[in-house]
Amino acid sequence: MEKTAKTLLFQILSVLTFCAVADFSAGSVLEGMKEKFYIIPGLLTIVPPLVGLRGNIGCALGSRLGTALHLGTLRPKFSRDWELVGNALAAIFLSIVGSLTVVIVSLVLRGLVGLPSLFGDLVVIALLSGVLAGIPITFLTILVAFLSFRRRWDPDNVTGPVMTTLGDIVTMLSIYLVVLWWG
Amino acid sequence: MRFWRTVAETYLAVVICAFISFFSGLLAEYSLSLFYTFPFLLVMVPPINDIAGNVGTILGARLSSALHLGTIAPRRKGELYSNMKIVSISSLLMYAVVSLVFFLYLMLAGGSGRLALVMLLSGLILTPMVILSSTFLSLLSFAKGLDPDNITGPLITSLCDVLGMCSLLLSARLLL
Repeated sequence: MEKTAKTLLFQILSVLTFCAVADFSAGSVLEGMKEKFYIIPGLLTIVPPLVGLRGNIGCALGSRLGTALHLGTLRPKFSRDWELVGNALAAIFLSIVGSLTVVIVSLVLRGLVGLPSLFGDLVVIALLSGVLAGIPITFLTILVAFLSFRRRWDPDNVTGPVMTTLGDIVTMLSIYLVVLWWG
Repeated sequence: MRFWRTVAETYLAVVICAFISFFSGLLAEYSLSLFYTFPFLLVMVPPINDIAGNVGTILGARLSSALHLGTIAPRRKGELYSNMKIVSISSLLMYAVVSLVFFLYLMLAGGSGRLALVMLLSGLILTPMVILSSTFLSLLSFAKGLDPDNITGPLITSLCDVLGMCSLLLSARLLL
């Protein structure tokens, strides 16, 4: 027990340290975009839901892969196994449908509390950033789950945190790029 | 691999999350002037929210695997408590380390060192809330016949977005 507790603490702390360092870069992108939040009303409102959505999808995917790897229903290599393909497709599908839902829900709620927002622009920004971020995030999740399992690290300790963090960065960058391109 | 069950459960979780996260964005937008007054305050938002979110996610994923494997059951709680303990320790250590790193960053970037204290206090407020909600969500979703893999992670990260923003604004109000 003592040994497992130590290993566990070591794995969790290394992963969290990596994430914390990476998070400062996500924070810096946010700080760098500060001006845009005044120009596009509603942009700051959709950032947390969108960032969260990508993290969530990656993290749910990672968690399912972790369980499947532990149960032995999935082997840690890229294949056409439905256990893997189905999970990946579900994640990409969710990323696109989810982005739309999330942005519409947020903007409708904003309307209800009486705040203005550039509805059309924000929906397009959300969709484009969804496509731009969804595919790399799905791929990275699978990669992280497999690599950690192969190296005998418990994917449960690794994929969730790593994917929410990478999801933050990839999503922040994708929103930033789309906003820059959109004007 | 049940495709539609996975899609439906995750979609449900994600939509609930959108409602929760919305308030986090709204709080941020209402506090936009605070973020202008104190540069570097906005930089803290992702680390604070994410450490808590990560801690909650790890605990959720671990509890989910344990529940599926049967090592945690209504009459077998030892594994549950030791997981909660280890994850709490990790969380507190992380906030301490990250606040220190942030302090050094502030010194180099010319910001106010007090901001690092704000971060530490946010972490202290957040940790117990996250551990308890993650445990509660995992046990509840499993008891209801849902897969905690699809529920706890998403819900806990969104919940942490809001709780993180609240605790940051609260600590900022108390210390700045």
